[in-house]
Amino acid sequence: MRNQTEIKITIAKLLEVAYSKNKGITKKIIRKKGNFKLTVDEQGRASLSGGIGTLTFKADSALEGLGARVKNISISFSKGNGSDIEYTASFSFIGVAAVSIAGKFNVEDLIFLCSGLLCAAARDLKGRHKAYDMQLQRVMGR
Amino acid sequence: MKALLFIVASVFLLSCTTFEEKQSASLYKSYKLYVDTLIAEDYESAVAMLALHNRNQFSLSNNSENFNDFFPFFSSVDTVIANEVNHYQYNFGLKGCLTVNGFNSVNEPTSLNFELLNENNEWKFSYVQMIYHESENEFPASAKCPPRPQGL
Repeated sequence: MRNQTEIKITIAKLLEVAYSKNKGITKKIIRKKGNFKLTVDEQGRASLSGGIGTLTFKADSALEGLGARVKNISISFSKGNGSDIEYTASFSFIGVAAVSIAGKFNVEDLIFLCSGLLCAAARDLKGRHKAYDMQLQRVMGR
Repeated sequence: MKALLFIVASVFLLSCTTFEEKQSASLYKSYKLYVDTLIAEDYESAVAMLALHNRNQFSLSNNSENFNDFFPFFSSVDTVIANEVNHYQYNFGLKGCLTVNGFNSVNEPTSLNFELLNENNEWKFSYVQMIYHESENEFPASAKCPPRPQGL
């Protein structure tokens, strides 16, 4: 189930896990002028970097919907028009073809989504949360 | 003559050790001072405690962003560890690394890895990595230099 929609939802979930770890920093990074980067290694350890620092956390829960073991992920974010953030992402899997996509999302929509009750309810991402996934899909585009 | 050489060598070695201890001790002191500065919201002093290349980047931004927005990590260092457990540090020449382990305000195990640079005998903050662990068993048991990401 590694279609583009699933990859986009995973990108949003990775940002959501970062947000759950340190709301203040994640918000500042994704609103900041300039580029930032999110990488994930084979152990599921994610690093969000930009603005002279790195936030490192375990991201296994955000990767569960991908259906294949991740070798590594690299996502580069840059500012688009207004509140838009553009990204290019490369997902490499063990024993399965890699996937690269590009897209954009509205940063305020994502922050609002992750500030709300729905996001809090979906924080335990081990259980699939359909309504939450649909909201993420709306923000990230199909 | 031999006695004189021995005394000179001893004094030299002693002064080197004292100098290194003084430098090493001040890595952690710099961290404590930096956290106090953030808590006091004294951002001018906080900027002065950052390494020259960071200060230069901030100056070049021409106040398009304030301290909090320009330095998302360095303006949030005080939010990562509420209860400190231990710390480790080492320095080699003009570069030093400091690791502080502890728990955040909701009792999650966290670590801070700093890279500091010695500028005019003062340790200045160059880079920071904030780590959120799964358990306290993952606390580093030695000073770790923060890895810098490629392509940023």
